[in-house]
This record gives sequence, C-alpha cells and structure tokens, in this order.
Amino acid sequence: MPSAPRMVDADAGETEPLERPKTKEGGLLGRLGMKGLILAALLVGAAINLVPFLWMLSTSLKDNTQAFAYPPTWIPDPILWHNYVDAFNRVNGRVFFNTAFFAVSIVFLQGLFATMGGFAFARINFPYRNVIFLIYLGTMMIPPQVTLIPTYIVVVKLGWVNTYQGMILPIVAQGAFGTFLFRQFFMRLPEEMFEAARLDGANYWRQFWNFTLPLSRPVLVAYSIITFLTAWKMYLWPLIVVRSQEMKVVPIAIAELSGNASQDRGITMAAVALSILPILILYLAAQRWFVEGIAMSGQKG
Amino acid sequence: MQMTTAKTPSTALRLFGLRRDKRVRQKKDWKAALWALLFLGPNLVLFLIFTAWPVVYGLYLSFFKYNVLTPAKYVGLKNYRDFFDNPTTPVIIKNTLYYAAGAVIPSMVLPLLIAVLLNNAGRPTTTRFWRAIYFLPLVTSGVAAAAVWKWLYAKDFGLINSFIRQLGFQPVDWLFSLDWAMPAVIIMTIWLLMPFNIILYTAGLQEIPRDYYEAAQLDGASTWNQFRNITVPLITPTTFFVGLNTMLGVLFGGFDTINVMTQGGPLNATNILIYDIYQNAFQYFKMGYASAQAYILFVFVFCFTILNWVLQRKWVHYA
Repeated sequence: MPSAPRMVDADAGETEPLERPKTKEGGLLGRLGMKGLILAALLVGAAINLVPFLWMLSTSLKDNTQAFAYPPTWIPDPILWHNYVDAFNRVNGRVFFNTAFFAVSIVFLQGLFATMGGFAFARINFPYRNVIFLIYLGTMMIPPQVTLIPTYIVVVKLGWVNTYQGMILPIVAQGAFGTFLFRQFFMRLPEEMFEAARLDGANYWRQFWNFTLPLSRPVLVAYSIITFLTAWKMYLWPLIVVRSQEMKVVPIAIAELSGNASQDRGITMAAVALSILPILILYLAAQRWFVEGIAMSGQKG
Repeated sequence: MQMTTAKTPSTALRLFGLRRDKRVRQKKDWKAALWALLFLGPNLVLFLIFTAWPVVYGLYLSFFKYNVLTPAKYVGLKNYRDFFDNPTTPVIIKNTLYYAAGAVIPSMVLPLLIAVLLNNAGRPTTTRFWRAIYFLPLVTSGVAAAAVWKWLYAKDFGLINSFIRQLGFQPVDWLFSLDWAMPAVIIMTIWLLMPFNIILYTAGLQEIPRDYYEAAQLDGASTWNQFRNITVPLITPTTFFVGLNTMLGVLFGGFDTINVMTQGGPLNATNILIYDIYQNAFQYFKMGYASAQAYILFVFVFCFTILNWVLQRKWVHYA
C-alpha cells in the first residue's frame, strides 16, 4: 500500500533520467512514510508479544478479588508479593529440583552420546558407515506418537515407572538430530589435524576428547542451550511416567494449578512466572546462542 | 559430504597404504569397526531399546487388545476397523486438519513479514531491541503459555473480552464455545511458535545475496516489488522448511496446549488425533486401539511428507 506512490516515482525515474532529483525526493518522503509504517507494525506486534507477559505479571501480584474485578485493572492494589512465596510452596522446591536434574541430565547424556556418535560417523572409517548413518537419520521421520505407547510399556516392563531413569533415558535416546548436527560440524574440521594426531599415535578417543570437543565449543553451547530449553519445557513424557508428587516436573505442577478452578489466579500466575524465570535469565544472558541454536536446527531441512 | 567420505580412505591409503597388503587393511577395518562400536555403543543400545523395538512392538500391539494389566489378546484388524467405524473419527480428523492448516498457513506468512520488518527496523541496536521483544515467547513452555492464555481468554474477567467489549462488540466465551475454541487454540499456537519461525526466516534472509536488492534499487524497484520479486521467491526453501516443521510441531506438540486449555472440549471441538491417542492409551488404557491410531497417523504423516517433497519442485526455488 504505502509503496504505491514510490512505484510511480520509480517508473518516472526510469523513463526520464533527468527527473532524478525529484524522484529522490519522492523516494525520501516515501522512505519516511515507510519508516513510520514499519515502526507502527512493529509496535503492534510487540504489544501482542508483551501483553500476555505483562498480564501474567500483573495478575501474579493480585488477590482473587482484584483478579476477578470488572473492568480489569493493570496495576494491582495492594501489591501482593506474598503470592510468589505461596506459589513456590505450592509448586514445591522439589519439583524445581526435579526439572533442573531432568534437563541437565538430558543435556549432558544426550550431548555426550551425540558427539560420540557424530565423531564416529564423521571421523572413523568403518564398514557400511553411510548406510548405517542414513538408517539412523531416517528414524527422525518416525512420529513420537508411534513410539510413545510401546516405549511406555518398555519402561513399565523395566520397572522404571516413576523413576528418574524412566523419565530421562527415553528422551536421551532421541539424539539422532544432535548426532547429525555434530557429524556435520566434525566433518568440516581440517583433515590435517587428524592426520597429525594419528602420526603422533593418538587413538580415536584422544582425537575426540583432546581437540575435537574443545574446537566444537560454539556448536556445543548452542546445542546445549536448545536441548536444555526443550527439556525444561517437556510435559507429555514426564506426565506419563511420573506417578507421585515427589517426582513431578514444573510443567505438570503448572498444568495442575491452572486446571484447578478453585485455585487463586494470582498464585497460579506467580507460579507460571517462577517457571519462566530460569529460562528468562538464561535468555537475557545468552540470547545470541538461543538464536544460533534455533537457526542451526534449520540446517536439517 | 560425498567428497569428504571418499577422501578419508584415500588419505589413509596414501599415508600407510602403499606398503600394506590387503590382509593388513582388512585388519584395520576391523579395528575401525571396533572403535566405531565403542563410540556408537550408547546410541546403539538406546536406539534398540527406545526406538527400534518400540516401532516394531507398536505395530504388533495394534493387532491386540491390551490394557497393560491383563495379557494381550489377539483381535486381528478389529482396532483399525473400530477406528474407521467410530462416529467421532470424522470429527477428530476434521479437527486435526483444521488445527494443522489453521496454525501452519499463518505461520508461513506472518513470521516472514515480521522477519523482513525486523531487518529494516533501523540501526543494529534498534533491531536487537525489537528482536529481544519478538523472541520473548521462546522462554515459555507450551504449558506455561497455555495457562496464561487460558486466563486471557476467560469469559468475564479475561483481558481479550474486555478489549472486545471496549471496541463495542459482544464478548465470546472462547474456550467453551464450539465455534471459537479451536480458533483460540490456533491463535495461541501461532503466537507460541512465532519466535522459532522468525529466527528461521531471518537466517534464510541472510542467504539472499545483497546485490540482488542493490540492482533492483538501481532499476528503481519499489520496496514492495523487491519483496514480491526477490524475497518471496528466494526465501521459498525456508518457507518450505518452516511449513513442514510447523506442521510436525503442531501435530505432535499440540498436546501440551490442548491438555491445559480445553482437554479436547467442548464436545470434542478441539479433540485432535494426537490428543485422542493420549486419552485412549493413558486414560482408558486401550493400548491396542491407540497403537492402531498412532500407525494410521504415521501413514498419514508419511504420505503428507512425500506429497510435500513432490510438490515443492513446483514452488521452491533453489539457488
């Protein structure tokens, strides 16, 4: 829409080169209008992005009378900081610990196995390497719903229901994408380095541990952050495996609070805010790696 | 990839190969295989237990009646017949398609527009500021976002209805309305997936050579014309990926949102196939029937993916 006048200007410029200065002026005006329009569009989008967060924060500091007031107000009065203490007690510190332990274990184990696998596929020349790699990669195409039920039955048969290993290991097993990612990165490392190491008599493990991993720090950081993020948010699999209060993770506790109609709105929103806080800190500290990690996942296409 | 693969053995040959006979090389292969087994061992064990075996076992289960507690009973194709005879099946399939299309199509368009706007927002610091805001939903889980949006959608005290009233329209009981529950879930899903797709598009935009735009500017092409004739066609590989990724994301990840916001209600209005599979398996313990459903979904997604790969030749431009 806003570009219509500039289009005309552009045409004029094309046919009559002498009119250039005039065209430029029109272009400048158009560019100013364009700038205003971009700004307006960005502001509307930003509002849509921010309102849910601001509304969550606002509600998290209200008691029920204020939360269920009509018309709704933005500034709580009085401000109930105590909602956050109540929320932490209701979600339970143990639940936060479980989530952190769950996420860190997945990052560490999946990261270790994926780098090892990636190294084997990139740097060890073993028979049928490419065929095996393609089959492994193909398993990424299998919808998680297909394996969900049988995996649950495997966990039941192993006696791992309501255990950390039952929650963690089936997720660690979904490392095909990480393996692919690290393989791609390791293949781009200079061949001469590995030759030199071989001549020095370094075996594969020492090649892997002594310089391949240290050289892969950027990929490792991006991969770890994205994996941590995914694990911290995970709901369905823990919901299926967990049976007791002590083994729950944060998303399960949030879903329960939100589903309980008699629950105080303020405390529920405070709990949501608490669940976001660790990731928010990580996001503010390492925004670049979030972006890089997600952009990296686009490589699989 | 091919080249590097071919390079490694030849380099190895050049280094050690000339003097070695075939027997020694075979011994070396055998040694390499052992090392590979060591490196791939953990992956292999987990893969066999939690992927390979479940894929086979799931298919096997779909021919049985099984509730975990009592032994499985063979029922042949009954589970598949039941699925197609079930009166709610057409509703669930319609909902699944509605949800997928409703979330995927806007997710292919809106994030591209925003990524372009963000690229043209001004100085790098300004762009960084806007990006920080637009990427903020990254920090929320599906569950946390759904809990907040459920509260935004509330009939009497929700913020959205208060806004609608101020504009002078009738408020809607979003999550309890047969017509509006699904759009409500879809809007929230688009919001939640937005940052991922903006990032993918931003990365894709960087792949488009600058000189194309410079040449177009010299020819006097308008901003809109540049967007239509350079950006849109050259970004199609990303568009394709975003579409596929979003579809898989909503088809397999929609569970969190739906379980918190609507639990498939009201009257199955937001009940999609993955949610029905979950309920059948883990609430009604119809493991065999749910496995059959999962395999039908598998076939459906597989066909859809193949169709997409075929169709992409018609509209995706690779440089």
